[in-house]
Amino acid sequence: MKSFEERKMLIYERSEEIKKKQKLKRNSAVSLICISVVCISIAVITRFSNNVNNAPDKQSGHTEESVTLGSLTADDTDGTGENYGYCGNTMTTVTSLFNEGEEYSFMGGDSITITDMLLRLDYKKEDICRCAGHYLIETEFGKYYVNLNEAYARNSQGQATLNSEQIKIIGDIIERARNSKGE
Amino acid sequence: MGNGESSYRRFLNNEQDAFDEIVELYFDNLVLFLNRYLNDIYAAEDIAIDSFAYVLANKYKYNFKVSFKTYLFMIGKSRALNYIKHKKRINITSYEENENTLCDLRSLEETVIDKQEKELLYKALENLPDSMKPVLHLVYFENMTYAQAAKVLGKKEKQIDNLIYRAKTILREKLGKEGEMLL
Repeated sequence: MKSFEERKMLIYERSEEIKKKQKLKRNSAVSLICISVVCISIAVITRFSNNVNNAPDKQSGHTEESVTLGSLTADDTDGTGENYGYCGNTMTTVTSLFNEGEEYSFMGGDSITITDMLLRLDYKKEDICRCAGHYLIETEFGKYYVNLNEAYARNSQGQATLNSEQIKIIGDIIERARNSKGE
Repeated sequence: MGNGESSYRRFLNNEQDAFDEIVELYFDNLVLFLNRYLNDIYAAEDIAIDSFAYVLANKYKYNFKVSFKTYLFMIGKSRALNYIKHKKRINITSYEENENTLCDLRSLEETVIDKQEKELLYKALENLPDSMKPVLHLVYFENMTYAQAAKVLGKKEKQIDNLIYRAKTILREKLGKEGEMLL
């Protein structure tokens, strides 16, 4: 067994060791807290800036995230528009230019289909004809003048030719919109 | 030399001798109590040194809500149990008693037990299961109340009561009526 003096000496020595360990532990804890605070701050700032960049257009009243045109690719061929990031709440308005400016607005599948189709047509500046458009179709991504008889769609980028299938689809959608308005 | 609390108050007032007084007052008792768990007088001494070092390093942790002895014994017991757990994990072979060990143990027992005139009871405790030894040690050798012993051992007062009742029964069986008279 140790003498009283030896015990005392050991107690004081170990007490200093304990103090050192506790100090080290405290410092580590403080460092860890600081790192956590910095990480959380970065995450919050990143989240905030992402939200600002992806903020919905307040004028159109859309609440879901939309995408910029620059990120669109031709890979989305299923016609649902899901790859583009818009969905059933995208609004399309068709104005009949030869029928006293009658307007039909609609959402859902037809809106996605027509938005998607008009967005991905190959518009060329040199192909613009003199014929007037019959419909003004306003989608989430732009305005288009469409003439189903002359088989074209036109926007600020130029004019694109519609094939018979596209003409039929657009015609059917307009017809449905007109009928639903009539109801 | 005052009791633990008054010395501790002086220790908090940075009186140099006060802590030494506390060590002198409780060291041997703590070692003997820890030996009830460890059956290794040197490990018990080492853990007692550790416990006092902890008290010295964290002098403001003791809040005087329990007696200082109870607080000190709680620290010691917790460390002893950690030691046992660690020892089991690393599978150290138990030490072999040699003459020096026994001599040290007897000398410590004499210091603590003789002055309390409870030598017979101390020897009788050796006949009890390990789980009962610390309880009886605290109550009969450290003169703790059931509540204090319960606090140190992390048990309920009722459990302490039951353990002592069972200990008395065992002693009665082993030592006859004399055994119970010891308690």
